[in-house]
Amino acid sequence: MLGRTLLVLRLVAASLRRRPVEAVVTVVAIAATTTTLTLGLALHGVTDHPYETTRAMTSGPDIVVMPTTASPASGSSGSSGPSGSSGPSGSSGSSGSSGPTISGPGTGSGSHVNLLASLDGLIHAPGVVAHSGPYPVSYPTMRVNGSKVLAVAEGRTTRGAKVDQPYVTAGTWVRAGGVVIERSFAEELNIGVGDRVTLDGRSFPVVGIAVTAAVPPYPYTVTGVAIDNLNNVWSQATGLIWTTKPIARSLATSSVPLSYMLNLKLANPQHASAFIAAHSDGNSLYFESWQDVRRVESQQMLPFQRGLLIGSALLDLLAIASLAVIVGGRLAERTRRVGLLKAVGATPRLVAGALLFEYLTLALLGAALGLLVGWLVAPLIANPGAGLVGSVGAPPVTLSDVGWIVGLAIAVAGLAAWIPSVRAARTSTTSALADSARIPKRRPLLIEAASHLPMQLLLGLRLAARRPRRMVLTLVSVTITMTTIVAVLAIHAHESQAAPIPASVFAIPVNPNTRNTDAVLLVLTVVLVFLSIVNAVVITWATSVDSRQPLGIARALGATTRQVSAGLSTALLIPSLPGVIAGIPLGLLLVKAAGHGSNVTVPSALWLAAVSVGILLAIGGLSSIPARIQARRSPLDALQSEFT
Amino acid sequence: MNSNGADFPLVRARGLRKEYGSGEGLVRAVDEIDLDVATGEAVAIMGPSGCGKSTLLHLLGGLDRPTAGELWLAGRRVEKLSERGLAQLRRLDVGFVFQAFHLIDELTAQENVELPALLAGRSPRQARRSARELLEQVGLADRADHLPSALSGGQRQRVAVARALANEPKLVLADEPTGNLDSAATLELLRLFDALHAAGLTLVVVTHDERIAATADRMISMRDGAFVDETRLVGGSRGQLGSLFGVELEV
Ligand SMILES: Nc1ncnc2c1ncn2[C@@H]1O[C@H](COP(=O)(O)OP(=O)(O)O)[C@@H](O)[C@H]1O
Ligand SMILES: [Mg+2]
Repeated sequence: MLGRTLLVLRLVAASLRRRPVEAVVTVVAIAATTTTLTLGLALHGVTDHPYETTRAMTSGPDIVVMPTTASPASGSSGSSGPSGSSGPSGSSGSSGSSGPTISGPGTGSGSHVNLLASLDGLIHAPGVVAHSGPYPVSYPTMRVNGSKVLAVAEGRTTRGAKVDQPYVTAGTWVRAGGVVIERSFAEELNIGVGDRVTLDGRSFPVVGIAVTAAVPPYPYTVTGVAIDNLNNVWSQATGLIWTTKPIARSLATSSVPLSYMLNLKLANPQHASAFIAAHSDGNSLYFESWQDVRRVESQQMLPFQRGLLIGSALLDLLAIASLAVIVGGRLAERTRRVGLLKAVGATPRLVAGALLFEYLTLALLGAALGLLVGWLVAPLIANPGAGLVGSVGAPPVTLSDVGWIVGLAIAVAGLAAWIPSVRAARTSTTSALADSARIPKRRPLLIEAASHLPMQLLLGLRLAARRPRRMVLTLVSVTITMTTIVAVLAIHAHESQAAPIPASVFAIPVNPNTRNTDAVLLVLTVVLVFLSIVNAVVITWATSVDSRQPLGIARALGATTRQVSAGLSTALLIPSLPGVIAGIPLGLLLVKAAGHGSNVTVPSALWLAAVSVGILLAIGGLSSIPARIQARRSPLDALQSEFT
Repeated sequence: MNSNGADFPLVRARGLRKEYGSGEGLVRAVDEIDLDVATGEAVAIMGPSGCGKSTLLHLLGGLDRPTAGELWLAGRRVEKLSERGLAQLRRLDVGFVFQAFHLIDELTAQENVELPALLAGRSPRQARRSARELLEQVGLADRADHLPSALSGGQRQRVAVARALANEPKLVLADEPTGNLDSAATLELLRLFDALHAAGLTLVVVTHDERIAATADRMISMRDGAFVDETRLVGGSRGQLGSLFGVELEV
């Protein structure tokens, strides 16, 4: 037993020493795959986590109640502005009311006493276990950095609240004389701590930035708000700010009177809808459940999410391609090695064991490396929407992710060792040693037609055609690379086509998440392109190593370096060309599929052509490197290495 | 150039030396060898394993560069050639036959034989035609579309010989060409070499096989990188071979 273990270890050590480049490339490829998967998993989990995290960290309410001010104007707000194209509205579905409407003069001055009494009734309703508020709310016009926006100013105490205590991400919580701005609102307007904002003409310092789970982020904080319908001045984009109660009260005007916000915590959060149904008598009160807020948020993040969806699909695809290259590349060489060991009398189990051990070592090393890189990069792309706490609380790479990835690395190592072992066991020792090329039954038309081609093309074509598995691998790998790049291009093309912001009294953000999405897309693009390059390098390397024998012979027969490298390039470019072509429609299809059938912006033909040519040139250039390295050595090296 | 003299040999080596390693591990694989091979001559080199036969052959064929010494092939100084020049030499002037065949696994017999002609820039049509003829000559016309893995050792070696002849080289170098063959295949290869020799080809064959050596014009014994003995075989090969095997040789 000990002797056999020693033998296995010695075999592994010898194999690693003899093929250091293969060992390094295998580690790099597995590391790239692991990084890919880590990022993919981090992306998959990103959209569900943030709201829950924010809710937990801020003691988010189960229900938010606001009085509505029924007025004739409220019904017409939909037709007076583009409310039909409004963002997601969580309000109407569950409560049956159309949201709080701040409308023209003469309304809303109704009985404060009644309002507060009905809110008070809710606090004591059965099922309610905690509450905060009612807090005074006013709707001042906010001017900052040259923009004019509608703010929802909530009056708060400087102490924390039991329910809905916003999480401060910068600066401090509300202090006398200062305001705190909700994070997505602040990001949209480029507000930072220390800036000053003007609320209805009065200047206030910004003392903090915070997030909440009580209302959706900008611009859907309060939906269906209309101001001064008579003059057709309106804004649907509202953002939340917190200030002291006196300031909030002082910002109310006769045309836009004071309102309130009450936060309720229920014994069972799942009963929120039932609670709302039971208590929404008429339309004097507007209810919003935490599920409503979550829905609005997730809808708001849709374009962002779509980018992530495409990104993670591409990452998965790339991972598959890398795995195929690792398992399928050098298969011939490995089969021959197994045959060689069997020929000197090793049992199949010993041979398989040695191979498995070797690949396991490499795979675990690669997995560790990849996890480290993934763990470092994941926060960059898995940083969720601005309105959410996001990565503050949730680790982007979880322990179960690590488990999955290490398990996969082990499975890959197993497969990479198992397939050649089985192949070598199934075939006779001699034919495993030879691991012959395949000759097609009929000479393919392609080869027939190629007899008019120059010698380099002919050699390349013949080499390629006799290794169909390698051809398929290259084809798949290049297709995925091209698909990735085309998809990224299409997304960028779509982003840059976003409609211009219409002139309006109030700044209306067309795509509040554009900035966010851009940053994430940039990181994703860099990661995807980098992984594609790693993939291309690995496949090129595997092909060139497997071509060492034929190219060495060709050199012994007097082929020049240029002829040899051209032959190798051709062998790689033949399957790459259809891959590049196929990648264009596939990339667009992927974007279309992830966009649920919405229009796909086709990148310009110039870009597509540039990328296609670039990929082909890169593969051609890459493949000439090993040929050049080999050319500096004696052709004998290549011949003898096959047999020693 | 001195190649005009009729008496100038096709191959001339003076003080040819090849060293591997350095210091303690220095190996003089080829140690100050002088050699002349006349056009049309067949030379057999024999010697124990590791005495430097292959190394010498590699030097003669431009597969490797000598550490020191001078080497002429067809009047050209070989050791001074650039990489490009060496490649051209291997392509046009020399045909190599290896013990391990060194056929390209991915190419059929026909395509392997076509390769040198294609490398030399001949048209695919021409290359194909001459490859057909060569395969016919070595008796493998019916195996033209087989991959090497589907051929026997003897058949593979005959394909390799056909390939070595593809560009009508001035010199054919064979390194233990029968080392991996059984006696029937050895005999067939013997016949082939004999026919080639008779047709005027210059041959340098490294071999352990007395029968092959006996067919040469000259037999050289090598030990520790140097020539230790040289025997001129009178009458050449043709008569002897037939008597050795008791067969009639067709040329
Ligand atoms: N690439 C090399 N590196 C180091 N030593 C070598 C190399 N090739 C051959 N040798 C050594 O040179 C000597 C001659 O080898 P070789 O020419 O192959 O012998 P032969 O063909 O007569 O058996 C041997 O001692 C061998 O070990
Ligand atoms: Mg030898």
